[in-house]
Amino acid sequence: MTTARAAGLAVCHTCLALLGSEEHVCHRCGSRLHERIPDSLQRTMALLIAAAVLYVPANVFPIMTTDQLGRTEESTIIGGVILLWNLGSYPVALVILVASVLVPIGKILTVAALCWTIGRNTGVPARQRTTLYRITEFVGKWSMVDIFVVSILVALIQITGIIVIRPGGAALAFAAVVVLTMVAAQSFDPRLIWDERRDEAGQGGRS
Amino acid sequence: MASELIQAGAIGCPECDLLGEIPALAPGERARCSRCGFLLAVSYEDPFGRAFSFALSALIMLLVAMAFPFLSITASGISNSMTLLQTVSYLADYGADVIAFLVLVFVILVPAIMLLLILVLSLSLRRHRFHPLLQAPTRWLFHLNAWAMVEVFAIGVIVSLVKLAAMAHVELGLSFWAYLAFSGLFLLAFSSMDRLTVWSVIDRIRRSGT
Repeated sequence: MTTARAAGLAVCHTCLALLGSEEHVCHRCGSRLHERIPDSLQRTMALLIAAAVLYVPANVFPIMTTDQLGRTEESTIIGGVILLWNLGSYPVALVILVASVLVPIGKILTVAALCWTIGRNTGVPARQRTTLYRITEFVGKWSMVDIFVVSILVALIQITGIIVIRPGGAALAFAAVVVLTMVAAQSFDPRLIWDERRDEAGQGGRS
Repeated sequence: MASELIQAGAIGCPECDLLGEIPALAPGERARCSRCGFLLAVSYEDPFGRAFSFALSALIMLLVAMAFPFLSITASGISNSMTLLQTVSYLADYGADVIAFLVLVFVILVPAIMLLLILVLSLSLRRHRFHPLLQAPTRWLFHLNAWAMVEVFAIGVIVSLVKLAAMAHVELGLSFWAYLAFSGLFLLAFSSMDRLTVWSVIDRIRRSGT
């Protein structure tokens, strides 16, 4: 099994063309060509740290405010989950708990862990780490579901004088967490997971 | 002829860098990287005709979804209904401009731009033509997909329904059903545009042209 790098080639990330690794632009689709994403780990970690910092206000501040008959009530993301649970909508409460609370922090930790394993001999097979990476990439956009729920409720619940729902301060922080973790997952170059395999095999052979 | 849209040849996996040979794929077959399992290509019978039909239907459904009431509620004898675009405009009215912009982009703009690109590109490739000006938009099509959130919004609508069911009577508008159809058709339209097929066909059109 030979890699493109070992053969002096690079794979275009847009159209899968094989080109010489000294090329800068893909002949077929015109994409900028990199043998590996430049500074992949630094970029990914920087984005993850930013996302982790914003995760705090996203959960502490209210994501929406309800004015009902002169009474103002603020609800956080967790508050929304508890409300749904008390209403008996267990499946939907779980969807929101997973998509809005567990997935963002899980993604930050998983991608950070993947970055950490690069260049270290952790013994976790490359195939498993690639699967982990694909899961984090796939679930990324599902965290936006809470933002969409807020946007729908805000548009629908506008009966002036009786009940009005407004977006809260956490919405922006939360949307930023989702976008930052998505960009972080995209900046991570999964080929780095496989690059070290030659060393692993070499060490395995000696022992 | 349709079975030879993707020609056999050397290929590199973009996720693990492994070099390999891709065989000519018959319609319905898919090729995965032998080391990391990455889905390299999916072959369809008449992929561009398929993509065109799905994209056209999806665009019509999106227009319907924007034109009629999406949901309406009745509580204490007063009712209120909303349209798809009001999910954006009310957020902006309350000063949540950035969120409003993101919802507009992820739910309407990105999917609409992708569908228009698919229409133009599939029509052109099916007629064996490729204008050089189409190169950059074709590239964008494959990068934009990460930011299209139609199916996430559809789930968001269902979550909202459950939240509201306890306190008010909610009625589903015509647009609600149109949006569900749009999200399904959108996914089918984009998945028909297999990137290896698209770029292989572009390659061939260019070679036969010069």
